This record gives sequence, C-alpha cells and structure tokens, in this order.
Amino acid sequence: MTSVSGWPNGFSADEFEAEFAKGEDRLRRAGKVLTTKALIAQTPKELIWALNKSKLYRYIPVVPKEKRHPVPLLLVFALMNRPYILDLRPGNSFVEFMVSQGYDVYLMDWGSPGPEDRNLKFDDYALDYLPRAIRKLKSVSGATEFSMLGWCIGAILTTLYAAVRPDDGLRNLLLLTAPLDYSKKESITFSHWTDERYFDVEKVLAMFGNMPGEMLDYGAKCLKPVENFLGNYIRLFDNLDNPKIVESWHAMNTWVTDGVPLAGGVFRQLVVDLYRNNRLMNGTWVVRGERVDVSRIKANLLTVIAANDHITPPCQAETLQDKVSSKDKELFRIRGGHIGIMAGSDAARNTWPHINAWLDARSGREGTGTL
Amino acid sequence: MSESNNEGKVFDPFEVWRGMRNAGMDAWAKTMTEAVNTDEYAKASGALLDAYLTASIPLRELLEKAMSQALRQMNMPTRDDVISLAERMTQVEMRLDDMDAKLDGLSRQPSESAHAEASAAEPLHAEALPAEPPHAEPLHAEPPPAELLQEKPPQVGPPPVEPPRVEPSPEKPPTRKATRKEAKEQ
Repeated sequence: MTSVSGWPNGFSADEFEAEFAKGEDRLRRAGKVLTTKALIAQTPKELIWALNKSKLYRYIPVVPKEKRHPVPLLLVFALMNRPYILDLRPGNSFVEFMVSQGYDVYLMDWGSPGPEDRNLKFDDYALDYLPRAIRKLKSVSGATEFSMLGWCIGAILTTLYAAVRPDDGLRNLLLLTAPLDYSKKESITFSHWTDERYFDVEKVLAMFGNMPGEMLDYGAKCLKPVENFLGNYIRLFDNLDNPKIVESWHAMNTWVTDGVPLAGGVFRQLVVDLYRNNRLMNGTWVVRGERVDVSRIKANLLTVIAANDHITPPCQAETLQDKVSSKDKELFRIRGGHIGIMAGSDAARNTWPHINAWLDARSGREGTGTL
Repeated sequence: MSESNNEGKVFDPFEVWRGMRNAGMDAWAKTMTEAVNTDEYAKASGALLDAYLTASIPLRELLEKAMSQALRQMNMPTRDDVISLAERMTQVEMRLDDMDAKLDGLSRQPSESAHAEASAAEPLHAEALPAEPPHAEPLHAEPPPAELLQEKPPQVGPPPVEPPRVEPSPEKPPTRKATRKEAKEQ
C-alpha cells in the first residue's frame, strides 16, 4: 500500500478511496434529503368534517373507551403552516403521544386558502369555521365539554373563541407561544417590519390577494438569517453520518418548506389590529360587531412560553394570565424555540409530559381529577 | 505500509475550516439578528418591497385586464367568475353543514331510544359509531348574528314538498265524479 505524499501523518491510497466513496455517499444522502419529502403525519386518523378548505380529523383511539379521558382535545395550529407539525413522524409526534395517553384527539386543518378566500378574517375562522368544527366534534365524541390547544396564530384563534364564546363548553384552554400582546414593540421584530412608515399592507394585498406562504417563510427566516439560511444546512452536512439527525432534519425541512398562504383579511388584521394597534390586549378589537374582552375567558388556562422564541417573544404571551377570569391558570416557561418546544428533541421529555399531566388532572368527568 | 494516523484517526482536510467557521458563526448570527431588529433594516426592506410592488402592480393589472377580455371573447369564464363561483360554493357548503347538524340531531333521537330498549346489545364497532348527544347543538347562540339575519341567502333546491296523504279507502272522501253519479241515481 502506498502512502499519499504531502498528507499529514501519511494517508494510503485505499483509505483515500474509501474516504472519497464515503464523501460521495454523504453527498447523495444530502441530495435526497434536500430534494424529497419525508414521510410525515403517520398517526391513523379519519376525516369527520370539512368546510371550504378546512378539515377536522379525529385520530383513531388506541386506548379502550373505558380508560379514555371523557373530555376530547382539539388541536388548533397556525393558519400559515401545515398542522402536521403536531404529528411529525412516528416516535416524535405529540398527537401519537396524546392518543397513547388516552385522549380523544381532534386536529383542525385550515387548509390552503385560494383567491376566493382573500377576504377571510379572524372573525370567520374563529367564529364560523371553528364553532362548526366544534359542533361536529361534540356530535361525534358525545361530549359537552372539550379542551382546546392553540399554537402560534392558532392561539389567537382559540383565545378569540374562548373570549367571545365562554359558555360553549370549553373546559381547558392551552396556549402555546401565543402572540397576543404587541405592546413591547422594541422586542418584537415583526413590529418593526410592519410599521406603517415602512410597510404598506394594502399594496401587498392588492398585489397578492393572500399573503404568499413563501413570503411568510422568508420573513420568519429573516428573523435569524444566519441560523436559518446557513446554520441549518451546515448542521445537516455536519451530521450526515448520523441517521437519527438526518431523519429528524428531513421531516422538519419537509414541514418548513410546505407553507401555505395566509388569507388576505387575516393578514390585514394581524398587521393593523394586532402588530400596530395591539387591539386584543387593549380591549378594542371588534369581531363580528362584538368587542373581544379577554377577561371573559373562564376556562382553565395553561400558557406555555418558549424562553428562546424569536418569533413570539415571551413578552407577547405572558400578560394574558393577569387579564383572564380563569381561577385555574398556570404559566409554564420552558427552554426552546417557537417550534422546538413541541417538535424538537426535548419536547418528548419536557413539554409533552407537562401538558399531559396538566390536562390529565382536568379532563375527568366531574371537572377535576381523573376518570 | 504507512500508518494513516498515529491515533487511528483519519485526517479531515475540512476540520481546520470547520473550526474557523464555528468560531465566527455565533458572533455573526448575533450581529445579524440584532441588525434585522432595527428601524434601518425595516426601512430598507420596506423600500425594496415597495419598489417591487410599484413596478409589478400596474403590469399585473394590465395582464389581468387583457386576459379577462380575451377569455370573454372566447366565451370562457374569467378568474373573477371562478372566484365568484367558489365563494358561492362555500356559502352552499355552510348551509349544508347546518342541515347536516340538524339531521345529526334528528337521526340520534330514535337511535337513543332504541339503545335504551336494547341496552344489552353492544355496537359492532364501538369506535366507528361513537355515542352522540341527543340533539344537535345550535351553531349560533340566540339571537343569531345580525349579518345572518340581514343577508338571507336564496333557498337551495326546491321547497320541501309534503308527501301525499295515503288513507284507507273506507275513510276516503268521495271524488267529484262519484258525487255526481250518486246524485243522478238519487
């Protein structure tokens, strides 16, 4: 065997060839991960309701009925991303975990709005689509009360619903990284970008109708440009020999690149009513002719805050606690980012068990306790 | 034969570069994250977007107008026509959803009483046929929202027709012809 001259410590031709083959294999793997979609959302489910683009799924229970929690759980995710982040892949799925813990789990999928949906507003989603889906959920489950988990923009929708319809059977409200308070503008990067001096929302909507998913994704990535445009891919290339990390990266990349547009009416409200004027927390937000008063929320409340969240800084989510009428409320602060707290590697160890424990104590037949 | 490495470790030509990269990455990321959270960045990105929109919107409107005219000439539906149809479809879907909820409520009542009579009989697929409440819950709490009252959509489909009453023949009222015949005989 000959050594390759010039290499430190000597390097044989065979080893060089093996290294070259290994490098080629790694490149092939990277190409596959970057150009294909991972198998995601594998937990078995059935479609039980649909309206326009929205769909309500029920996950097939795996726990016998007598051992199941009688209060069903509805998951509501953001409007501009696919909700299967909650059921990313087997072994790393919040839905799979909750189903295995005996919950009757339902998932709201808002779908992808078309040009005909450009005028849809928060009012429509929270007070038309969501109540209809909940009506079906109650009909199918036979329950009169339910729990609802809202994440990101989904938390705005669920807060809106809980405030406007406090007597419709909502027992437990879980809010994850909820962008509700926009008063500390200096801490919220999106507030800078959507300032009326620099950003003409009407011009954008005149051009696009709905806010394109690509623009929203680009905006979210620009909050941390180095990490998202560079660091993310470097992490993949550094770990191409680790199948677990590659699989996880592939699934997450599949989700990140599968964004959907945001209905024009919702985007306008998000920028004007919330980012610019903080109308929800000021108590001046009017939807369907009714003022949204968060003090009317009386459901048990768990607010989960991601300490390292750059999309929804903690200051946006923590102030709701002091404004609601709920007697049973908890603020749970956890290390992690906006998505990482629910879909990251630590989620199964930290966030999910806490949500399960909190919900378990409040999903019994008589209001508290277990079955 | 030469040893590849004294410690059994293969030389990685990228290791030096990787070390340099990692050293600078965190500082660079922090600087950039702070930079995008400034008014200057917001102003610059806003100006870029505005320039793009100012150039694109008139072009888009022109294209849309030309396309609409061409499609009309060919007796084909335009984008606006399709959008309008889709909006109407959603309205119809909402009415259907309300009807579905009412039917759910109606269909549940007899099944519940039957279930009470034969409580020993277990459903074949307990999961597929979940227990349901006795009545459909109204979507809107009373009173219904003002907009629903204001814009009442046209009724979808024909008006409900009452089924003809079928009664036993002895109680059947005499027809007009029979009455005349009877009168003649009398």
